[in-house]
Amino acid sequence: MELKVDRLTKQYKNKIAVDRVSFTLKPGIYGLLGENGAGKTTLMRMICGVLGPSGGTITLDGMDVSTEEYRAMLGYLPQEFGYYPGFSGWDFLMYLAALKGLQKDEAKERCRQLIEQVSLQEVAKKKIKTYSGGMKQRLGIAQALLNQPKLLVLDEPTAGLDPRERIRFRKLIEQTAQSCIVLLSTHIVSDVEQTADTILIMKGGQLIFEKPQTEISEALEKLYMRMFEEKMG
Amino acid sequence: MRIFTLTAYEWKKLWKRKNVWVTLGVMAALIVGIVCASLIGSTNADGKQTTQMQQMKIEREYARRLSGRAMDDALLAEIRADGGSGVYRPVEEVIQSFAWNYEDSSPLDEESLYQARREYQQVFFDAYRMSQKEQNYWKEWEKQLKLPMVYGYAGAWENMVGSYLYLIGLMILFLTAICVPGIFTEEHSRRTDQVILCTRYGKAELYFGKILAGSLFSICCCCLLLLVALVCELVIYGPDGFGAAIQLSIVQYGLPLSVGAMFLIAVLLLLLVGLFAGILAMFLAELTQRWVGTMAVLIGAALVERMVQFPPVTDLMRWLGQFWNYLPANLLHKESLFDLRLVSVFGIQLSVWQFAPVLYLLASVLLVWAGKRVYCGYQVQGS
Repeated sequence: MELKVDRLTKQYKNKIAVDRVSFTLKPGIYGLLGENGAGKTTLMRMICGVLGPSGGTITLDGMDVSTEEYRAMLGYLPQEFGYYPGFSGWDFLMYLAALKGLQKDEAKERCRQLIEQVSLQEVAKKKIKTYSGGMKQRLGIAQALLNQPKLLVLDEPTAGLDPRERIRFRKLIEQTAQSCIVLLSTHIVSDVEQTADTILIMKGGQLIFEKPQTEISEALEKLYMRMFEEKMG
Repeated sequence: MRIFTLTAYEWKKLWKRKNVWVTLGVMAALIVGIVCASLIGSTNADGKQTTQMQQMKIEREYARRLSGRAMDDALLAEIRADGGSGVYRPVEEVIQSFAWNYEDSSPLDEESLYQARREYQQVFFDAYRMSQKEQNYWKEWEKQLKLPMVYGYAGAWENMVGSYLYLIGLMILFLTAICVPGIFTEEHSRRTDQVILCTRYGKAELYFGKILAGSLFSICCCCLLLLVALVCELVIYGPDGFGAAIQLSIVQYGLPLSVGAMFLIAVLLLLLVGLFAGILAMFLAELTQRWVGTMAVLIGAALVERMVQFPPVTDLMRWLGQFWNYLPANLLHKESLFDLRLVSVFGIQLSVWQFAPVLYLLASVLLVWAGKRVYCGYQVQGS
């Protein structure tokens, strides 16, 4: 399993949001750090095929990002997670399961499992509009995991989660990452410090840092601040 | 099968919206109100004050008694001898519509009555600047009409085609403009687009699922409103006259059709208008991603279509007027649907109701195709 991003570029009229980014990811957890506006969300959207690049390619085991086969292996939690207020959490997951190609019985079983994993059993049949921010975020994580993705893209996944939920989320991701590529974007360093195997740092649309955590000698927070200041200077 | 599952979910999302129930409920209530309004109040008939309901029952009884009578010399003589008791009023009304150009239609015999009808048709030919080829087409069909015509009371069917199908058509344009765009715009406004578009079946299959859901919704609404109007009409006026000649209702029309066929043609066209309106609403919604904007454009277009007229004073105006009749807000008007002006396609002359289905189906397919390109090419925006 290999995600290959090659010279990926996204240019708007007079702004380059992502500038010739290249990397190759193998199964494991990748923490993508960067300040707001660094190009993380644009990069993730392109990896998920919901935003077309101006240049470059994205392939997963040789399959192009625009193909149905690529999407079949993808799980995505966007930064701003939308829902249907009239649907219950259960309805929402069953709908997404249908979109992801799960058969009805399989979908029911998977939804039951995930609802339990994200601790939404008690509110599963209630309308999503009654959910708290944290519950919605957990529902978003559940939908991303529905099809047991080979590539899981999470954009600011811990936003709105309380400390206990963050721990539970980390465990869930660690379990999932054993056989898949998890790309986790955040601007909160502590979110990735404990879970990510490899750290990627973006700034001004460019990938300025890529290293396994084991090879990073200083504290991640310190490294991040140093890189930020260096660039400012 | 997957597409039907996705359609079912889209259908569910649609019916979860309050505005759908409110709009549909208001439209259905309006139809019941309008049908019943003509029976409320009092009227003066032959110098006597009576209720509208009572008067309708009397006239319906007169008309039923005359149903099946040939409009020949014998009946015309009976009418002359009657001296205006009102018993023959339903047939007299038909005679007056045939002989609209005559100050007094009472001295007409059978031959002059049908001659008067042909003169009436000629007035249309001249007024609409119709070519000799078009006139010959209608004159050929005229030869196949059975004379004398047989009178048939067809109150419910005539009302349906004359008033309600057109009204339902307009309501459907408003209803689809209000309810259908949300199928696409909601995904963008609620930011669910990012989640669905990156799923395995979130592109082509979901697009067709949405199109199917919107189309089904439009067609079901047409059927529902049609059923409401039809039940009211049949309860009040009865199901009589399905086989009566169309010429009793549309004097100038030349094809040997029945009133029932006229009704079924109008229903088919209503369903096609509904289908097209739904698809157009979904296409514009995906193109603009704005629900209010789409609704405003569609409702505005329907109003403009109704307000603008093209009197056939020049050949250009004749063609413009003919084209204008094909637009969704005009098509279901009885005068538009059974317009005498023809369209020639590969040498075959087609009347409005023969050509419009082809046109509407073709336009719908084109919009579905163009919409798919827009939908699949959508790029997620915003932060």
